[in-house]
Amino acid sequence: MTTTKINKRTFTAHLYLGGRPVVLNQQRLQKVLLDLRITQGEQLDAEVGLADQRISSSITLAGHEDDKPLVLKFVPHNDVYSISLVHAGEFDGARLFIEEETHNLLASTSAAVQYFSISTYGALKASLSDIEAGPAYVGLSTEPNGKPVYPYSYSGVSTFMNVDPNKTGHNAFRNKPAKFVIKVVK
Amino acid sequence: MTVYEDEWAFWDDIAGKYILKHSGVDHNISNVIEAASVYADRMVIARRKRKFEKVPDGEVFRKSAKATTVLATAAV
Repeated sequence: MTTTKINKRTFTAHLYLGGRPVVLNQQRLQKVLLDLRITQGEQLDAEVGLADQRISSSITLAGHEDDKPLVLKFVPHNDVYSISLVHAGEFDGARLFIEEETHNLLASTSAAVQYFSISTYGALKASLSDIEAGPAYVGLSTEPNGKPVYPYSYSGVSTFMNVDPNKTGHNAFRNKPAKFVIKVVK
Repeated sequence: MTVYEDEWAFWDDIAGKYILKHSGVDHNISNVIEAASVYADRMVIARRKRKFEKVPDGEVFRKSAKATTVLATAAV
């Protein structure tokens, strides 16, 4: 089993979780506003979110399986990656990072570089060669601490954190890290 | 919230079933009605988030059995 590999190639990819594409919250909120049967509450929530840089920059899941996935660019640094967005607009080139106070996964053009490792069944620190053959299950971990990324849903909106969102501390409610499907674009 | 004309039957169905299950002489009527309305509203919103498509070509139409249909069949 390969545990460490030197990655050399930059690549772009889409991520999915539970059949839904990983997107920027800004994309999701813009889509919500296009709904002709939107309620006043949903409209106000979307408008507040779009006006707020912090809320817009959150990484989330699309509202529907058919929605366009976010293009993520994986740039190698030894055996880990920095991940940035290929997304026209104010978040183009923004890097994924974990917000220190909340442990939420966000995108920012100004935050310090955060590194992530990709793990597959066969490789704890996978590289492009492990996943380019076709869609593959992967886990994401923040580096250098190796903390896995967990999905967390609150009021119907998904977010990602690098700590277990189980606040009870009880083992019975322990969550599993996110198992994404990655599809390499190029 | 606004419920559109093609959603009223669905709203009534959810609210009616909730009241049927939860109403009783010892229950607070206002609370039951309010809860039924909230359930119906939320289900209408949840339903709107689902895409509605025709049956794919080559696939057979699978009709869902409703309680009324089942009762009518059993009565024959």
